[in-house]
Amino acid sequence: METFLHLLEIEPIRLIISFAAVLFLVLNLAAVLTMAERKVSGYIHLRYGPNRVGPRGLLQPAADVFKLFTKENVSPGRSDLWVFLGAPIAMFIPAALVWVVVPFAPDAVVADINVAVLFFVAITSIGALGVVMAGYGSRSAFSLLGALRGAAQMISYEVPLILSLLGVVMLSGSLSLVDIVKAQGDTIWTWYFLPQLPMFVTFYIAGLAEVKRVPFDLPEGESEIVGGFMVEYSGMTWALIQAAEFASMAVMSSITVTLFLGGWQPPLPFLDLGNFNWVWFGIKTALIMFTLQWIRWSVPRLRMDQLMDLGWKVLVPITLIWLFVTAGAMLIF
Amino acid sequence: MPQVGQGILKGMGVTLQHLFGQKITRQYPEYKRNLPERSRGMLTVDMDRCIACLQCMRICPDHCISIEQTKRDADGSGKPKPYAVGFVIDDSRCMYCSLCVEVCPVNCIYHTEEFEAQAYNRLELARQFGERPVDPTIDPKPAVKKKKKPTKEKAPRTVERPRTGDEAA
Repeated sequence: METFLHLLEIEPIRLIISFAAVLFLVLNLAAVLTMAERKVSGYIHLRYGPNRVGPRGLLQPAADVFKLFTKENVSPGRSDLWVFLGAPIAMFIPAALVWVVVPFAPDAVVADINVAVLFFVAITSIGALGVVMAGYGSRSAFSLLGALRGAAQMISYEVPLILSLLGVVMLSGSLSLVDIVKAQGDTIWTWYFLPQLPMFVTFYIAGLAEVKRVPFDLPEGESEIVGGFMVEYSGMTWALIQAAEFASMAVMSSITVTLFLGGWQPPLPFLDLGNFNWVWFGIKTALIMFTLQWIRWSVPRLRMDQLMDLGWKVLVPITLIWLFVTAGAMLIF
Repeated sequence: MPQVGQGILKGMGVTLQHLFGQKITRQYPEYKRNLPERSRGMLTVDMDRCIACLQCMRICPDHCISIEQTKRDADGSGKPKPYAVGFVIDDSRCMYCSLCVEVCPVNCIYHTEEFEAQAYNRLELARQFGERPVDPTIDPKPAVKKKKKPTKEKAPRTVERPRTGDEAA
């Protein structure tokens, strides 16, 4: 046991093991989130949701995964097969990779990069590539429409997303997520969501659009373009796309928590759990993920022009104004 | 401006109430609701009362009832009467129109509240009631008086019941 623990401190082994642990977490999180999504949707619809497999339906994700593994993987006849099959991977890897820089607890982070915020922004924008690959590779009109919508939406909302990060970066003076969490302090009113409230709301909305969740799910758009970029996928490739969606939703929640809601910091000083502060991180992330699902089952989808209006005419000006306000406040105080 | 987002917040309040509200789903296989009065479930026959008048078999639009009829002195009156030795109701054909129930003079065929008709084989849905099983695959032909058929209708016979046209007569 001792030697094993020492082994964990040697650099490449630590990185590999912790990255494997994070990957395991992400895959399981995606499975659990599909279950949670169906349960929340059921409860909001006054139904029970899945409750047949296992106690209260808790084994439903296992049944789903088993079903998807046994399904045949079909691709359209004239599809660009390499691009078609590469798209789910190109969607999933960015969502899994961002977890590397998220601090789970005081010293629990896979890689403490000093430009972690930049890393997050750079890696999440690769997700748009996956969407475009899926739409292009399928050689299907609906897929291509969905992919074009997805590309337009994700690239537009990158702008308010990045701009809304800058306030936090200015206040903490660091691009490292570990430092940002440490700078927020262990009381609820020193977290950045209070001085940066408009930025927090903007980041939340832009993040919602970035992970293609419901008020902004035009790339998928079941009612208009049946399934958008994922219409031609089946079996495990489809499951991988879904896993990527849920994983990126979890990533966006965790980054929101890290940047604005104090990461692993307890809400009040006496609630400090030491190394077990990941409990606070988990609770906050779960709450944000729940609000994402809550919004999904309450708010109808936006039109494409409304989406672009909201992004460019509302969110970007708000972030720019609040950047100036933050800068002025920092100059004065 | 103060109205921005109010609709969304109101809607989200409603969904939050529903999240914790009483669920309205009936858990079907465990919980079965009481069927309304006169609901039409699967048919059943009280063979003790049946007088083998064959009216149900004749009126059935789907030909789902087949009866094998003999003469037998069942009630000990010394006089042989029509008696149904075989009686089959094929639920794979029945459309629950209730015509047989209406036409039965002794009210011996009636609907139950049973409605879960499922089987692995279509023939398993044919329920036998008589002493002797009746083949449900044979299309029941009511015993009509034999009359001379027009020679035109000597065409190859199909499973469809030949239209004799003299049933009303």
